[in-house]
Amino acid sequence: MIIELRLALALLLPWLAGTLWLWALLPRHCRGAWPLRLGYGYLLGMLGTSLLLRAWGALGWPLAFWPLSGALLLLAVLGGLMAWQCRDLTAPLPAEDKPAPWQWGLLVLLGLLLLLRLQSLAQENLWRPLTTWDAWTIWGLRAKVWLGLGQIVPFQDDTSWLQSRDPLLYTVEAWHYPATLSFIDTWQGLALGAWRENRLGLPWLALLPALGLAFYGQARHWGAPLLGSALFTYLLLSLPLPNVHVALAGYGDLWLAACYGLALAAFLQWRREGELGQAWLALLLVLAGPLFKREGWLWLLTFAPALLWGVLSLRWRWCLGLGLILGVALWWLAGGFGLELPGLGTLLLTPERLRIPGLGELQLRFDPLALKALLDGLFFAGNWHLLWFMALFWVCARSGTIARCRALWQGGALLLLALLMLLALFILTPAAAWARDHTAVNRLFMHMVPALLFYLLALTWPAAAQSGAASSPR
Amino acid sequence: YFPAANYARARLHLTGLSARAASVRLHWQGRDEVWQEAALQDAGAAGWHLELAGQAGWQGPVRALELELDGAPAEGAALLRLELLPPRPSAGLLLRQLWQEWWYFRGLDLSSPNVVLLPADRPLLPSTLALGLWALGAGLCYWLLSRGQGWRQRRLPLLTLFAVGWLLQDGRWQWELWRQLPLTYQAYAGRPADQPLSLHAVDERVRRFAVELARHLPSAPTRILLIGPSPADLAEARFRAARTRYHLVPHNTLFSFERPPAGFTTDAAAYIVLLKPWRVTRYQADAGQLVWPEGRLPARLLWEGELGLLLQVDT
Repeated sequence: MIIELRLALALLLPWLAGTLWLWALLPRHCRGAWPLRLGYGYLLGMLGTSLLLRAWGALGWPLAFWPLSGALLLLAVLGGLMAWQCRDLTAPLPAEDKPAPWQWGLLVLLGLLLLLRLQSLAQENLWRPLTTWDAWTIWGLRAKVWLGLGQIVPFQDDTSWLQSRDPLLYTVEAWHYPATLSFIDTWQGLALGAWRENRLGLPWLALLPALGLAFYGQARHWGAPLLGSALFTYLLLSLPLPNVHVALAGYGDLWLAACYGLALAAFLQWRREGELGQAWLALLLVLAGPLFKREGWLWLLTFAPALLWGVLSLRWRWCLGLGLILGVALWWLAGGFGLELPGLGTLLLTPERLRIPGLGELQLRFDPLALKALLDGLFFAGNWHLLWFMALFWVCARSGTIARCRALWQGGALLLLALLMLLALFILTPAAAWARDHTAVNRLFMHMVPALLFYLLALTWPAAAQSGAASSPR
Repeated sequence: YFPAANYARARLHLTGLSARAASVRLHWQGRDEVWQEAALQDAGAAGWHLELAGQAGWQGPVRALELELDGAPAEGAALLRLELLPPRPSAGLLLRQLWQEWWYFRGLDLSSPNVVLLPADRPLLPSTLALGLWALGAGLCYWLLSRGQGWRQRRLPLLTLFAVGWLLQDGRWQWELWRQLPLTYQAYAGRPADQPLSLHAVDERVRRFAVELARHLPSAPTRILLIGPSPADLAEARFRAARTRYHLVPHNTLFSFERPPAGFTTDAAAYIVLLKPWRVTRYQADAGQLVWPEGRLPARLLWEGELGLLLQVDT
């Protein structure tokens, strides 16, 4: 019984702390406010817990469940006090939709389908040990070491291990991968009091409904009706590849997908109505991405041009767009360019080669087999149901609206950049091998899928976007 | 995996078998990892033939094929081509294949986090594509027929079209998950709470080996060099090495393929675990030395188990 209580606390304390802090960040009462706070609260709470463990380790304190729980409780109380200070009592309560009886019927059906799905995934999640390769060779292994020792010890590369005689300096193949997932595993292990693999996946199981709540809350906040918001939430939570990442828990891709998708939703809300809390939320989440997986840096990059594009005036956007097209044409005609960076080396970008000082060199070559495998993953396999067909249709059908609405235009530019980056990565670079053998390609596409679905929702109910304060005809 | 039903015959071309009396057998492995086999018939110049469709075990998904050649092959024996030939097409057969393709159970395995329900080899029409094209086509027709209407009027019918296709595909996925559950239960659940979970039978052997090994090590975490197989060895050997390391935690292990890493000195680790198969690095018990092409190291044998041995480095 005590184990179940500790497990429940291990999930609920971070969730509570995250939710209360988010209440302080987004105090305004609006449609979908509570699902939004609860959903984002879980993600931020687990992230905060991992940072707390990181700091705990840096201070050299021994790992123990109750002191860490106490610290989390303290954070929750602080968040609660902040939320109480910031609460907005003046805002009028928004009018709620009154769905017709047939709509209620559909809502109940969608809810039941989601419950069925969660039940199947929960059984898989709770019965299995850590199954997937990286889950136990990297993140699980680190957490098992930390739990076994009762303290956080460093992991370094093989050479450092060989040169050191320190019994507490460890090594693992991917020692440089972000440690957040290891901290989450450690936190679960502390709650369990032992290394029980079939309970380590619980944070992944809770992530799916949390993602659904956050998505639903943002959809309602955007102005989508009750049934529409529920339908799109169902579309998101029913996707097979994210489902598998819950069933066979242990990878970081679903966390990164949640970070990026919810960051884009917050970004769109901010661009639409200028609510500063949403801007902070977007920034927090997009910065959190690299803490889960290194690919988070790529996703972080996609926000910068979208932001720049968003703040420029119409004239400057034309200038920048034309300059970009001209620059690419000149670059192509000149066969690329090289730039000597003092002290770093040569930055080289040609149609055949990309060399970045400090990172290395890539041969760029079109790989038709990789393109075929990539299209197989998007349109033939069962990863995404009809998502990419729907995205094709929706974007073509709503192109006029995208051009007229600033928030949608910026969100679209951001997603287009993300898509182009993935296409270039998997079709032109040596990463094509990961597309041909279907190893990384679909997982990387998963990172942008919640964002894409929110964007499709925004395209479906664009009136909400156009009515916002920050939107204006282009 | 590919569905067995997609192929009705096997044809093999090889040269260099010295005696025509030699036999050739095809082995195949299904989802349950059970191997089946059947002998190919020698058809002279036309090669070797096997009617797969008539074989009792030729059904469901096939995950691996192996050929067994019996009889001494001459020098330069070469396998030229192994062909799996589809059955002769007919409308009924195509419909049956389509049905099997759509209700083909793949289940959850180690590749599932990378790709779900990848269509079988040379699919006729994957269900995702069929439903997607239907939704796209129907949506386009509706879009053209409803010209003059705004998005508000078109939104609900279009959403309904895609949602119906999505729900059908999702029903297929839920069926897949339901079929997987009893398999997962059988593999992992229903064990006593105090019995550690293993990934499968191979891992169970590794775990027992690691537990035995750890009995010969100090209780405090200690530095160990784990020498595993070659990168070219079978995936199972590499899996055993990675799992040994995992089960030895919290001991502090450095893993190295085939041989001690360059720069390894006797004071870098007090213990060495040498896993089978021993191809490059071997332990010479009489000389009390660990030997590999580039060097040697004095070491004392502490324990030998089913999967490898434990040495203590003499400093």
